[in-house]
Amino acid sequence: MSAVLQESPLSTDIRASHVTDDVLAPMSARPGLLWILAFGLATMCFGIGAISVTHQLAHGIGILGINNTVGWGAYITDFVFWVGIGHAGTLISAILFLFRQKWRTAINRSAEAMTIFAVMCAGLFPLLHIGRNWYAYWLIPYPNKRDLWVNFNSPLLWDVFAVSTYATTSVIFWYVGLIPDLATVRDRVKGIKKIIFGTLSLGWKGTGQSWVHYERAYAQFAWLATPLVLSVHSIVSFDFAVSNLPGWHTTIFPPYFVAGAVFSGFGMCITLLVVARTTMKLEHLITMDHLDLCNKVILATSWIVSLAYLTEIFVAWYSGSYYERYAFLNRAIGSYWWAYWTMMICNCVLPQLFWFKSIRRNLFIMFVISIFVNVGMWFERFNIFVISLHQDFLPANWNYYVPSFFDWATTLGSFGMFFILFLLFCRVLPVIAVAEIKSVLPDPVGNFTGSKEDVK
Amino acid sequence: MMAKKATQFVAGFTTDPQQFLHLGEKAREAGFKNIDSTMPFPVHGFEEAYGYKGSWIGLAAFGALLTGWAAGFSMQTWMLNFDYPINIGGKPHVSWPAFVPVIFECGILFAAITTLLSLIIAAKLRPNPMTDVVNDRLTHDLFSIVLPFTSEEEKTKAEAFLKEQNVSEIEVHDLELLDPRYIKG
Repeated sequence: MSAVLQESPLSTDIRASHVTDDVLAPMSARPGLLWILAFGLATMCFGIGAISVTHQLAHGIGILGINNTVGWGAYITDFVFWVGIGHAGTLISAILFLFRQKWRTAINRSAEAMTIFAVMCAGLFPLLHIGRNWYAYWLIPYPNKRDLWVNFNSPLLWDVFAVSTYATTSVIFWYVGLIPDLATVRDRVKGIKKIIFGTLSLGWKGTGQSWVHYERAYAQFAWLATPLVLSVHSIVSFDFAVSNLPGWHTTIFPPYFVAGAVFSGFGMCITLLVVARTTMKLEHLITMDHLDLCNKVILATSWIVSLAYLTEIFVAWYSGSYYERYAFLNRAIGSYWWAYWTMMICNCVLPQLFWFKSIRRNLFIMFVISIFVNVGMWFERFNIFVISLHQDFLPANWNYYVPSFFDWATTLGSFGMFFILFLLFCRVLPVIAVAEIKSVLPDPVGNFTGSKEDVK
Repeated sequence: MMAKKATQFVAGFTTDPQQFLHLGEKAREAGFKNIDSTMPFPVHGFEEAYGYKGSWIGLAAFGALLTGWAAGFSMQTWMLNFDYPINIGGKPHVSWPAFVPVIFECGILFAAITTLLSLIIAAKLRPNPMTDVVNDRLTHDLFSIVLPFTSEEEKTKAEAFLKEQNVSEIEVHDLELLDPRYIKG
């Protein structure tokens, strides 16, 4: 398995000098029709979200679908969904780096961008969800006139630290990875662009000693980001697992959330890569082999989440607890049965198509499956949060939660924001880590003669 | 009397990573001092070929990680036990298992920021809108070996060495183009 993964999927025909030209070409070309259409659509979605958020800030969160029984609805689902999307980026940039998976170089830059934009979207939701948004800074422990500190025993506060550390570290990691490429751009452009990229590239000259420090720092970030990414979704899962509610109070949550995050993140990765490689003519650098490998990761993580779903059901039965059994039975055949089975079909059944090599290598089908994976993962969080809440211990309190127009509008707005940022990223920065991919080319200068000795 | 500090260097250019590594080894054998190089992308084994020292960044980050953990624990203990002890669900004031997630995140945050600052210091990175470069292709596909010289004699020796190694392009430049250390005050 590892041998299969380590083979470089890049052709021996690609020269180091071609890579710079090909990757940097879209930055100076005029945007294509497809890009303009996509950007317009994303801006429209963002606009709808912005109007919805403005309305909410003026009128309060009463306009959302949440009620006394179901206090956490679409917003918290969106929060966990977006944090999860981010995890694939860190997995690709950090964990695959530590495992020396050289194929990651073709996709790590865009995956890291995806991480940062997803975490930005995620961060918005808890801030919008607190009733008095203007007091959001109370989450930070700072000396104040009331002499009070935040409650460090609360998982919700752990989340504040985890997500903000994750956002900071991801941005630093991404920027450090960009420095040599920004210098490459600096040396190829003129005028105002040269000044901007000259400033951003921090005077990078690529001298040997600076590469030594750079490689050390890069590996260091990978070592730091690996436990960090595992901790972030574990801590997000503590928001639920540490409570006493049947359906939430489960020790399996941390690994199950992390696997689900990687699963949905790779789904989003495929969605973005299929579009990026086609519209930017990068098929020879983001090859079918890369997409094939991503699809294998989706298949593997699909099995992990499926196993987690089954384990949860088994443990609910085996616990002998009346409430635990009811919580899980209620998911499958209760009033939210449709959400549960949407999740099951999207997350457990559809990815099984990736057993077939022809499907793993079919752009259209993988694109469709990747979207279903994300729908499924959105509903996974919806099921966990809403179905566990809507029938609490007193039947008099039972309630049915339907997201309101504003829930959906803000959710749509977050997608709009995510795609605006990603589309802009594709236009202004190198979407492939130029310096990194050059170092894994099988034949960077064309010395390859076809003999075995040439292949190191 | 200190030896004269080099202000200029002879640069030999190549697009071939293998030749680039070879040049470094040969130049060290030939006894050149303070050899440097530039690379558009790191080539496996360049540290050994050019005899670069390892980086201290790992050590700095490790120190920051431990400092961050200590700071995270001290912060929570001080706030909840000394400054304003408050009874939360009957738990002890220092309920340390609940502090672990924040302690961990503080360590990672300290280490990540320290790694970035260390890199900026170690690789002498400075934002420079008017960055001057030896050659535009040095960040594209061109490798260079950098042989600093202090006298005409050393310069001739360096040029002869590079010609002997079949380096097609040889140029002479000011060191300040490569490294802010050399910029004359």
